[in-house]
Amino acid sequence: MLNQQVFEQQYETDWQQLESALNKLETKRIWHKATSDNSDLPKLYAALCQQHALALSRGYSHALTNRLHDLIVRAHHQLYKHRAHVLDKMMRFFGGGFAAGLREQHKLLTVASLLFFVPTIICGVLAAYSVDFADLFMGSRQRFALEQMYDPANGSIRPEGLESQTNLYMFGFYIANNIGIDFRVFASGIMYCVGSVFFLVFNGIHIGAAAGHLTAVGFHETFWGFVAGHSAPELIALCISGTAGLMLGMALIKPGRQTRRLALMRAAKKSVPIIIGAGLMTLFAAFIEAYWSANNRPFEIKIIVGVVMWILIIAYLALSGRRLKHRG
Amino acid sequence: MDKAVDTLHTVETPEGALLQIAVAGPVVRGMAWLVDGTIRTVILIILGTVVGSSTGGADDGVAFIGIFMIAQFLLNWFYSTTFEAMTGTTPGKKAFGLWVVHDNATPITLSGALVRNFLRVVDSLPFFYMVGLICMMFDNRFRRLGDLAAGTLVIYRDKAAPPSTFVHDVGTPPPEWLSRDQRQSIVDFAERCSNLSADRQSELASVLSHLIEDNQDPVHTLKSWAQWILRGQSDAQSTSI
Repeated sequence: MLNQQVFEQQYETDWQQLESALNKLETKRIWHKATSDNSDLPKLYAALCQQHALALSRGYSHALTNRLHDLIVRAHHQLYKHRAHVLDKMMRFFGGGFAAGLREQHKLLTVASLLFFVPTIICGVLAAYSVDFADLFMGSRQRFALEQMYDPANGSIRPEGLESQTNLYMFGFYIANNIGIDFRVFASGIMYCVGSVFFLVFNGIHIGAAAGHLTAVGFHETFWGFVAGHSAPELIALCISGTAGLMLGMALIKPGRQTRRLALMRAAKKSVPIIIGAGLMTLFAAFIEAYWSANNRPFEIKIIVGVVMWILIIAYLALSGRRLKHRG
Repeated sequence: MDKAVDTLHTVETPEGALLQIAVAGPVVRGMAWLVDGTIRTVILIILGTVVGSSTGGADDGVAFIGIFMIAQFLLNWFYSTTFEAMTGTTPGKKAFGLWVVHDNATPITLSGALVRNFLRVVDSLPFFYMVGLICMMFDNRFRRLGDLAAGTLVIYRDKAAPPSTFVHDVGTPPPEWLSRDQRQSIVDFAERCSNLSADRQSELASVLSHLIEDNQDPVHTLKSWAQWILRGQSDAQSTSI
């Protein structure tokens, strides 16, 4: 058996070589392109693992084994670092990865859509039928505020003369509020779906009641003209966020032949591109809502734009990425 | 090995190396969170003062609130996510030597960072991270819901200890019946001596005084044993014990 000093002398140059390679890798800025000049690292690392095991089994001093352990941790960290090409990933995501991942969850997407649109329609019809129902669903104060906003007699939806500033303000508000709602719908799904279901139904009731009531009181041109443009990306994104949330919850409710923790981890991993896609769709919706929806174009054009949006988005989600290889 | 109650966990890598990782508990993580929260607040205050004073006019005020809301949204949802995905830690965590890794000790990915930080919404319910705290108390690795879903751990990353400078002028063979662990302890003692006062050294060495002949100084004897264990009787070339 070698004594420790001889052992150290034998491998010292290897360790120093590894250490300087690690120092270089660790100080490299993240936005620099990954270089492949450290091809020795895997070899040195594998040898180091063996040397560390030897040092442990021979009972060498802790000063040495700790030093080797520290080197192993650092090398392990560098070797298993995720080096993805961001652009490549984004191309795959928009080129169909998002839609393909979503279609894999078509059952949950159906459930989430029903959870949102059924209350929307029911409450819309009821609120249109009677103002009492509208008050029940959103309260008379909010009903009054909505009437003020969409009353054609009040002119433009945005205050006169302040359009560009107000547009930016509204853009910020829609981003913070609507994307925030998406993320909450997603995250709260981990409570055995309860949170996602609640948010979907709650938003459905609210939106349905507003739409039904405003149509019934004759503000349909201002209301539908305003919401038509951004309705498709915003409402579909809400349902998609709900889908991502239900994925988390269902992993806990019905984990299948794996532990709940493992099922949750796998579901969470799959849900990430879906919730990112939903967030981006809502960002798109916020842009339309801030810079298009409030303009004074003819009602018919706004409705046509809205319908075209629905068709385009549904077609994108249904058709893109069909040729992507199924990833196991 | 007996199963001690410990925050040290061993992770076996594909190469067969055993990594020891020390998971961080709720208190230090809470403090890191406070630091991050302070940083975020300061950023918002600075943004508020700079942009607010440079625009000034009442008309621009509305637009400014829009920018402010976007900044707040980004800091709220993407501050930790971005830092963790790019550097493996946040400024607050770094201040306490904390690091986020996956539970196989590999660096955290963007997807992992996103899950663990988005689920903060649930962990922070109903107030002061109660859900997360309760979850951490029932988990032997202090994982909150976000960590469980993302498969991540918050760990301490120790600074590398300085290499040992222990050298002793003489080496004498220790008793042959000493076990491997006992020999290792003697070496550890010798290597730690540079950080210990002379009194403390002799206090520790006296624990083993029954092994040492009466007329010998225990500290001196243990050091010469350590020298012999590390380097053999002559200083370099001996290849066998």
